[in-house]
Amino acid sequence: MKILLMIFFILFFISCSSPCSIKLDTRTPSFCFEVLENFLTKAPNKESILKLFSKPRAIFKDEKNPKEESWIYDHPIKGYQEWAFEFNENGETISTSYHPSGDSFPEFSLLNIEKRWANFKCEHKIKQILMPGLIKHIRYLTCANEKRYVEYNKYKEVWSITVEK
Amino acid sequence: MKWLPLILYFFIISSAFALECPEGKYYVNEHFRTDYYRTDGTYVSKADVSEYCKNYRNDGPLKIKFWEKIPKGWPFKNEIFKKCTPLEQKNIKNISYSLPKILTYVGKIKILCAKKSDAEDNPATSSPEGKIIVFYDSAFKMDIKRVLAHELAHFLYNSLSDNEKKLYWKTAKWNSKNSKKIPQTDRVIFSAPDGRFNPEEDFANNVEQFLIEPQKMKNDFFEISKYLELLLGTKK
Repeated sequence: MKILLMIFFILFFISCSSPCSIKLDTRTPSFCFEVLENFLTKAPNKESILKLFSKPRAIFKDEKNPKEESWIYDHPIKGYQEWAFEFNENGETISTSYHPSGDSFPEFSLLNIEKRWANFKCEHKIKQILMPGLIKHIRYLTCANEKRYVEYNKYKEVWSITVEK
Repeated sequence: MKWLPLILYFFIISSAFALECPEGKYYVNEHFRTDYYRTDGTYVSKADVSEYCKNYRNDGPLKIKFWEKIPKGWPFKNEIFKKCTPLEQKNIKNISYSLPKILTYVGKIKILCAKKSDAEDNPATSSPEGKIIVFYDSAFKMDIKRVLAHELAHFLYNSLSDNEKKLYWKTAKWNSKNSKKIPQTDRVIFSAPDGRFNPEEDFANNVEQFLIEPQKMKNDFFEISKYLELLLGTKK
């Protein structure tokens, strides 16, 4: 019985670990949502992000205003970009973006996000972007007056979730 | 009683992964389907469709329809459209047979010819969503295989799965600081200069060079070549 219980708990913890790459033990989809939805107010600066996520893989300066920058974090195993934080010139966080990995389904499915943000007046939209030689269309769910933005592809797979201040 | 933990575990696991699709397929949520007629006239009745997994890129093999009139909603109003000559049509069709299957598995597309592009030095414009490619006069003075491969690569980029696109971004070093803004890259060299502006142009340039000048592509961009070998199915 003890062995069975041990196996159960080991398997349980493996199965419940999520794709959300954060230093903390709280690697759960709910924590990823916590970061997305509440981080802009709870951890509004670089120091607090450093504490939780450690050093970013890349830092991009804004071309127009070099004092503004973005920090990029990758998925610890797959190496894809997972998080991005944008800072204004005072070092305050102005946007948080999360790129869920495929295996995080269904917590970050379009349907789930739509249900979760039902109170934020969400709308599905398609944006046409004209580039030299290409007419591109972007599908997205926009909520809270464009402050919450979910980009998805033609298969309705969520590419990114962005929350702006 | 002693099996309770295992029962619980399998219940949790099965409920967590019930919606996962195997590689190469994507999940379609249960939905109500209204009745409609297929293009071949077959009637499809209305039904409650259960959730299922569907193949990515399921448009079928390429079927080209040459079109003369300006496509509905075409944004470049100053472009003057004309009929593609029989020779141009023949060349385009013949070249399409020589391209990797994944590039031509796009179903029905409209191909048009026009005098000159609104954009400078642009031999063709494509709309992957509208399934339209427009070739300008200058395209036929160049290597048309190059131009067609490039335009179909735009179609392919638009139909990549989330994971395929993520892998391309990782391989080609693209980053997004905020999805509403233009992505940025760590790279400083590109197979064509306009590749530095956005990942889809970079992808199309790389596919084009990979198919036309594979050795140069391999020498200059080894990792991207490896990615394209696998994606395009050209690995020997």
